Amino acid sequence: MTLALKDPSLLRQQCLINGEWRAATANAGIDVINPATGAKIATVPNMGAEETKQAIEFAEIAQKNGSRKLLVSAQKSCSGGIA
Amino acid sequence: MQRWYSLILENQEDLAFIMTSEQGKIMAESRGEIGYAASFIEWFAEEGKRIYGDIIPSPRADARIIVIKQAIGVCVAITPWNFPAAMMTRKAGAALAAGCSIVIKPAGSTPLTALAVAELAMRAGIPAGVLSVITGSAKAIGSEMTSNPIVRKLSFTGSTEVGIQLLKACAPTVKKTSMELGGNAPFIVFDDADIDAAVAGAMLSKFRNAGQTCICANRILVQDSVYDAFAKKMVDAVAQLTVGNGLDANSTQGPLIDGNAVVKVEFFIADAKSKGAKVAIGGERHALGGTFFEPTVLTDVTGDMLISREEIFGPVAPLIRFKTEEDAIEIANSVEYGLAAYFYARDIKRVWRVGEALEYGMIGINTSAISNEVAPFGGMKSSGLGREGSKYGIDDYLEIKYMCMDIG
Repeated sequence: MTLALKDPSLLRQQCLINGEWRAATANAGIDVINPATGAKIATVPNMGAEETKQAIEFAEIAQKNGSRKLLVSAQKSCSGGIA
Repeated sequence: MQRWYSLILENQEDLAFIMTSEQGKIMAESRGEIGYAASFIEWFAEEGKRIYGDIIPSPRADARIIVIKQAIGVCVAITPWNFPAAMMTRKAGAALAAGCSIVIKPAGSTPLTALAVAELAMRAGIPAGVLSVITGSAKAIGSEMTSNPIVRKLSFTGSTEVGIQLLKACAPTVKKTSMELGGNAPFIVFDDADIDAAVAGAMLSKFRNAGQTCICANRILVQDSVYDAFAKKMVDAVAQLTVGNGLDANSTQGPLIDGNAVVKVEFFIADAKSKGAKVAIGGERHALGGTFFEPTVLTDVTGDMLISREEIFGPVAPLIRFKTEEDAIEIANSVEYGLAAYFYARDIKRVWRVGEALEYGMIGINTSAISNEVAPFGGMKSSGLGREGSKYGIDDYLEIKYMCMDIG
């Protein structure tokens, strides 16, 4: 079953690690069930410690690269437009 | 972050549809939660501009004392199935605004909303690695999150039982933690209350998300002289509810999250009945089958019943009778939890007395609509540590650094 979305690309069935959408390395999945109907609506990766460790390490790199600077400069350009 | 906020609102209908499909709550509530979720992104984007430091007068003439606040470091978040979007953004919004990266594990039963919100974060230009979302084994992911020394902070919303395990697991690496844990909210109706307003507030608080929120009224305490009148009006209001698929615009209550939730609710009702409670309305699995359950009111509920001690997480309203204000406060504070409490009264002195006596982090006085991005959300006692949202929420993602400068 697929969901009737205006933007079907919002239905993501991979995990987001370091800006990339990834399936589980073992390709195992967890079914997502609609509790109103009992129907399966999607399957997401069954990830574990290894993928978590990678995400944490990428998060540390992003942190060191100055995530705050990027976010704040993006904000400034927004408010500059309004002023 | 402002772009992320806009994209969430632009895609509100699709996100709400995904949420109702995996979580079960009615579309009106899903739309409401998407708006609530977006509000945290905007709020914290603005709060990020106000991470002020301090200059403290030094006891030495040749020294200057400066205090700055800095991002705590890599954060992780474990979010629950009952608010799949808002609990993600309440944590991620604060983390990003503070300058932290964050790795999020959404609940196994409701990962799609979080993944869709993450997709919008990517479209908004949030840099790679700053926000990651991982689905899968709670045990394997949780154990890596709690043991990895890179992680400096863990934020969790879920049960007290799991929260305690996570706190223990975080202890060896001394991580900062925020814990939004279980509740057992008292909802007290005093004899000077506006009874119609109290019924309306109780309905909203009790049956939102089919009773599956940590701030749902768990024990409805009603003063002796207004008990029967309140019970009758509550039953009449419950009779107006329509149980059905959350995608159906007529539904006012969706299904419970899974079969275990139904078994637990049935168990609480059976225990209460065996100890003298009466079913005023509902009490059974709904004719629709599956995990649908009838909205229920129990009367003559007492403190020895499990339903008064534990978090129900289902559409059951237990009405407990009390005599005096002191009794009500004692009953209300007698549990291990301290998240939300509500009371209805009009005497201004009583309002202050009761408001200050309740050992709860959030108190709704003549209202049950207490959640918003500007106010501090969090609990006392076994209901948790820290506050989320509000001007206090960003502090959990910051470290205070003091610099002493010799200028002699």
